[in-house]
Amino acid sequence: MNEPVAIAGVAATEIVTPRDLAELAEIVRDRYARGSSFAFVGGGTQLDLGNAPSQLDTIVRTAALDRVIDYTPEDQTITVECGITLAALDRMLAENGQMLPLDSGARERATVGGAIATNVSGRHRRRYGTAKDMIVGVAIVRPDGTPSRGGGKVVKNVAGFDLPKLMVGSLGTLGAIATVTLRVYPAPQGTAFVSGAYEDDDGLVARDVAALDAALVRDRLEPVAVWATRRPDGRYRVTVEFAGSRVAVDAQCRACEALIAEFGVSVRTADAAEGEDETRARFAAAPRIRIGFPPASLAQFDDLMQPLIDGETALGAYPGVGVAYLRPSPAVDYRRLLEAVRKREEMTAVVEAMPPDWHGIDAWGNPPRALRVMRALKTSFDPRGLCSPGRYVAGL
Amino acid sequence: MTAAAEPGALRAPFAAIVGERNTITSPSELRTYECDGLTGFRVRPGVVVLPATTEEVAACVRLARSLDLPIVPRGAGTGLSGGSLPTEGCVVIGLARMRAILAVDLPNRTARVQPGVINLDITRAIGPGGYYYAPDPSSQSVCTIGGNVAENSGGAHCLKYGFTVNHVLGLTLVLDDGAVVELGSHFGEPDALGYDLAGVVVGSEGMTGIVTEILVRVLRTPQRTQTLFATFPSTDEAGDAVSRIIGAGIVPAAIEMCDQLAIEAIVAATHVDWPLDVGALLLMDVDGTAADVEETAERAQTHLRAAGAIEIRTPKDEAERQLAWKGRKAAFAAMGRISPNYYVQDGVIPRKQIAPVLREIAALGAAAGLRVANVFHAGDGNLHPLVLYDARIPGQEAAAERLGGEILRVCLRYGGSVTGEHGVGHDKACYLGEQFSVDDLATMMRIRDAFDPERRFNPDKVFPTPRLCGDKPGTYVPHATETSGAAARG
Repeated sequence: MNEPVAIAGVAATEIVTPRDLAELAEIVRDRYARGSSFAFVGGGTQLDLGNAPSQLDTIVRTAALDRVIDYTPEDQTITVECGITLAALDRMLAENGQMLPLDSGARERATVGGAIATNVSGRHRRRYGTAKDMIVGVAIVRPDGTPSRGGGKVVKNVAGFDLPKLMVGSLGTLGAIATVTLRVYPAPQGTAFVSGAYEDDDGLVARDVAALDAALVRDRLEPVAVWATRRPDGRYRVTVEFAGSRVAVDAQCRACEALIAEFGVSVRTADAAEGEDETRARFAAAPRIRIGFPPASLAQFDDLMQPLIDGETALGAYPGVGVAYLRPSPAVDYRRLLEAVRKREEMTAVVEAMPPDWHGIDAWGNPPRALRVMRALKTSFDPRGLCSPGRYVAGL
Repeated sequence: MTAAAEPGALRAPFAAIVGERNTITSPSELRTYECDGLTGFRVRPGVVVLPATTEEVAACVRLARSLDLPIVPRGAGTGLSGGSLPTEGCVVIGLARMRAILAVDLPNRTARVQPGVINLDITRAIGPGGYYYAPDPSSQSVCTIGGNVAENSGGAHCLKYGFTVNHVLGLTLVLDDGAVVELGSHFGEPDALGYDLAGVVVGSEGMTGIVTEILVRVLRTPQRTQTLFATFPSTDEAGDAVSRIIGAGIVPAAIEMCDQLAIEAIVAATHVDWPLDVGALLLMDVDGTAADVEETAERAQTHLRAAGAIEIRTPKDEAERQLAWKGRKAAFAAMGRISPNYYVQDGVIPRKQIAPVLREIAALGAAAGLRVANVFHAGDGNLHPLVLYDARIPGQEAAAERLGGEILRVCLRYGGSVTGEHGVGHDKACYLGEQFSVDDLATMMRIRDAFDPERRFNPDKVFPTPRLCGDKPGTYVPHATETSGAAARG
């Protein structure tokens, strides 16, 4: 594994790898007391996310914190240390017919702590939601080194303030995620993928993709994922994933095939997602932009994009969720693109992987409306501003 | 914080904001607001105001701050943990008049509502179009969405669909200085930038500010819902059935359990034809696409039988199905048929431990000389032991409360929680220190202080303090300014 040496292009002066949770707390306490800045790195798969830290003395790697603390398959919960990889977790859960439906492109490297701190998600969020919907407990090390817990090990719990939810997506700015308890899910018996407009000369305009998505909801089908990838001609191919028992999946596939056929495009059903690896590869490297829009607004989003991107730009969208990933081609005026999206109050544009030559671009965009409370939270947890300073929204 | 102002003096300035009719200061009218669903505790507020808009709420908050009054927000007052219990001399801001469904956006599957909207009214508004709002506390025909947000309310069908926090996309919040902030999503767009403040405000029990608008997610009604009703010799077999079903990877929409005493009360109070000669029953919903429901219901029945079900019924029509659920949801109210008073707890345990925990609860009840009925969300291990007592008998109320506390300790011993959906409120504040360490609570207090540094909103809730918990506080949480030496507590 490559040693991460820099976060968003900023190199640290030291890299430490605590051997256990006590050492993690000790390191944080020590650096904080010394007034030394620090940040946490899991598998290092998202080091280009966010703005460059304003200070970075120490990178604390969580790689050695990879123990399973408690796994009770009958309760569908698991408690793990932050540094365990998603792949290791997958393997353990699979032995018990379970899974964690938190999508990440790099499961062999990505860690649970990192996935939660960055709030990764993918196509399965349509059915299963995001980390917020899976996390039930957390133990953190506050920036001052104080360990504390929130939530618990049971799936239902409203005792105390919801520290677990606060940590989701906080990008290590409120302290280290030391352990997490997650709700896990039964793995479906079977999966099938219905593709529409898969032929090279075929395609659906964005409005039709949105209409298909609306028809799936209208007919009360329950896909676990729906995604559309943009072709060079600006039209889309679409894939709908169903999961569950064989008979239930088959029934839904037949219904979905009929819906897609109404648009006059090619349809086929397969056991595997076609072109998934290829799509993932296209979005693996910088630049990568994540755009959020209201779930039913794919057509409006597409209208906004068409004049700003070209055929070489990769675009994958999740209608019904309201997320699209974009890899603009070198010819695209990315500044104009980001500005156009960020002007729309119903949309967000986050640069998830910033190329080194995108100077003066803020990864997050306009400050959130409740920045005042976010600042107060950051100050409350990290009054000295030493924990991943500057990397998060509005310089937090 | 002191509340020096005389109730009479409070009337005019608040009435100038919300109007005379919506300002309550007369002792007889204030009585309504002395408590919520936890009726054993009563404190008279200084004044109650019923604002109609976000601007009025903000003005009331600014005024309360200038008068240095504590603020206690209130929805319908159905809470069971004393979350709306007034603080001496406080201003209660009641949101009951803010009951408009502001917008429904079915393509994006959202609804924007005011906090005083009754939970069930959302589903009533969108149900005819084939949509519904998922969180369904048993009080859903009377409780408000604002109250649900404060408590992160659950309900029977949260097993599959999640709790209030999983269905709230965005919030409008009035902060302690009257500033209005927008948290989370506004148009249904995902992944709002920055910390998940909406996720933190939900379940913060009115201690972060006053929520004046809520953007909720609504769901498409599934193709089919199949209800199963199964009876068992005792809660042991019923608990085993729950473990088998969950363990088999089945995710029902709901699995509810009633023990013999709860069945007796429900049958006496409603028209359900449930058998009285059984030890426990399970009421279960399976929903989804038609093919999926058919198969899952069949698998579930196999597990029910294997666990020793005496009888399995499926309702013959929707009316019979609704009746069964009505029986379940009327359970708390039905206790009046078998006991003059009851005290309900809300502990959570790992769901495979239901049978042993119910046995321990029965033993504790026997030792205390009190009956305990159980009617609860078995699928997620959220118990609702109803300790039955007669307040006219000296000492019984105190004994019931003591027993309730012992039951919570059993839940904690099994690795659970003191509350699954009712909230900590006033009722369980003194037990929170047994679930969390001093440092854990101090961290939570930092979250609160980021929203409400003067701790004006709903003081004396959730966090254990010496004043609330008597001589044995154990876990008093000092204010950040105290630990830094900037302030001392008098």
